[in-house]
Amino acid sequence: MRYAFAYSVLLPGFALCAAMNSALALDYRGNVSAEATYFPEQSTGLDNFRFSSSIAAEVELSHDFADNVTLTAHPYTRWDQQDDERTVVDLRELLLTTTGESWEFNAGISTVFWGVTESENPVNIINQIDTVEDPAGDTKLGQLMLNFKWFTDNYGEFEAYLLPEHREATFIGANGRPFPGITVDPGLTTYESSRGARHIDYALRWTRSFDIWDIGLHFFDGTSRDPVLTPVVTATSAVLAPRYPLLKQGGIDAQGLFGDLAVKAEVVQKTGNEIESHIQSVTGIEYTLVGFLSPLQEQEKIPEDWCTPDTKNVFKKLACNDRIDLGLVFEHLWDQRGRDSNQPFQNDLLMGLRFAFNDAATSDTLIGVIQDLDGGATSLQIEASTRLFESYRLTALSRAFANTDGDQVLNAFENEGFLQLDLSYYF
Amino acid sequence: MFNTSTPQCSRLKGVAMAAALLALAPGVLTAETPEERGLAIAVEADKRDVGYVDSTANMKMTLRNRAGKESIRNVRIKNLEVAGDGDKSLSIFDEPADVKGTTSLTWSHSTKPDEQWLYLPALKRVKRISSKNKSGPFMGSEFAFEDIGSQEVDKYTYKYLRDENIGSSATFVTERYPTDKNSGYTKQVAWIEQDRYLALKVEYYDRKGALLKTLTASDFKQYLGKFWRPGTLEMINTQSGKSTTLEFSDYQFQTGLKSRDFSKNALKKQR
Repeated sequence: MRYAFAYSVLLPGFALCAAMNSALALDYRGNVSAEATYFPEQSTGLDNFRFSSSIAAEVELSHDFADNVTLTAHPYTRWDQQDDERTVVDLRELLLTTTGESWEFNAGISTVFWGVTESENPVNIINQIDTVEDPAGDTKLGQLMLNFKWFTDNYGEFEAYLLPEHREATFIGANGRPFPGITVDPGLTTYESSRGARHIDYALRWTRSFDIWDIGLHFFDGTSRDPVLTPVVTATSAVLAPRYPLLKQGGIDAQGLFGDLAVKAEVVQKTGNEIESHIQSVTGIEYTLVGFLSPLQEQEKIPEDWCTPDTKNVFKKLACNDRIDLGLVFEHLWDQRGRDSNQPFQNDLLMGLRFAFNDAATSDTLIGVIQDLDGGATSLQIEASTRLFESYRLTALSRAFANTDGDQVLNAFENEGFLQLDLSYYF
Repeated sequence: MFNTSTPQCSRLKGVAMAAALLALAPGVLTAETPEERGLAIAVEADKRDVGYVDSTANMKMTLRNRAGKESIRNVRIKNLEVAGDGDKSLSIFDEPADVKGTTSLTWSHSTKPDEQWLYLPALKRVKRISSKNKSGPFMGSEFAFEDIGSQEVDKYTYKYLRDENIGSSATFVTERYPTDKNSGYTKQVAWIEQDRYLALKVEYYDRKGALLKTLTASDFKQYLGKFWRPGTLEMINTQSGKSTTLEFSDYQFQTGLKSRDFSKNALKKQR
């Protein structure tokens, strides 16, 4: 159980919501999902399973108590067949929001997104990453906060955050896969701050648009979301002990939109007593080709009779499909510490292709390759999804790792490639 | 957004205004060219929609493939009239359920490119997106983004062709040529009803000049004693045999929406 009070808040919360629902309008969105994962290779971990399954459910409930007061609750639960660390009940949000003419006040547990890039978001520091839920880092743990936002007409938007409780990162358990080579023992967690997880962090942010440019600045002072992992050898095994140093982080995120070309950058500087002062960045471009196959027809590169509605040939049909958009993403991930970095992307290049089919089922496919430019690992990801029966979505995800021998962080992942199918029902 | 029948742009270039004034004063100028007449019709249609302030409506979208298989989307739309520029609009997606809560915000402009943002609720992320994507399909339908976007007078050049009756309605038949090079069309032919200046039918011609789609608007209703809106829009793709029907309900005008309801920050709070 990640949050000790998750259950105690959740159950009365549901009861309250059910009671409110009968009398008042309640907005909701959620899903129930089933996931099956197959690992073609044997693991170096304790459990040598090749197949794993998991089910999950989440719902986001919102209710307006008055014109300007909203309560949002977002409970979430997952059961995993193999990994106890992945069987959880948690709250992504439990938030009271009050709004005025030019301000907004939030109190409770919330999830906040900062950033512009696609591969990683170094500026996105408010919430802890939920690694067991999504190793790619797109899913975040709810963060307890007091937050005030002030919107001005001419000077952009100002935000201030008070974060009274730190959340520990989640780690794949000894029975879990993809197994990172050595287990992290959350029982050995230590903090630089004498107040431990109760150190009061704060953050400030300013964002503004200048015509085609969106600019953000931020400053964070508090406990690092990213622990330093130190090997500890016990009588029976070797594990990693996480330690959370105190950190000051300042940074900028910027995006310029030049027609179909987006230019993006996120740069942060981190300093602290227990960490080497360093700069981390993601810079890159995203370019969209709308209907990228349409020139084939328009410039008569293919015979006209291919493109009749009666064409059955799959290749001809594809060549005639002028509705598919292709997004190209190139991003460079950099960490000033180089090989001393505790994260895998210290000098890496992401090349991504995103196909949007613009069909009735809103099908899409994402192909991404991250290549370490210092002779390290190659990571490959392919993800495809489509809608079934109006309210279901089927997603296939595959990750594979190659050339892991020379990579300090990813060297244990050689055999941890997998293929995953997820079927979600949305309501 | 979605008022495809009634171009609504209060920013009138000097030349457009002059043409309108001339057109409204018959006898002053006798030698009007087809281009001037086409523009005057567009300007008059635009003028008749000035002053709606804001509006909200529900839109049900039915996609049909050649075999008749249907797929439904439900979207709530909010529009705000902006004096001196293009309108602002919000689209909140309710169905299909997997995109529930996804919201798009568009600030249309008459002389510079539109600005567009998308809110992705699962990631809590507001993403600014390219507004150059004119020709791409809107939610997989037969409507392209440019078909449902705010129809500013300056986005086309015009040419009046002839008068023609559609059923019992007398219409002006005009051609309009997109000024944006990213448009998916070489031209559109519109049948504009003479009494109310409403587009009853539009034909869209693709980049090769061939007829691509036909739009039919029907079930018009008048609101606040002035503003006409279609209840049904049907787009038939004559090349693929697919079609999309938009049905509008619960139209409300002058609901008190403010500029800040159409801000980037408000995008996260639409439900």
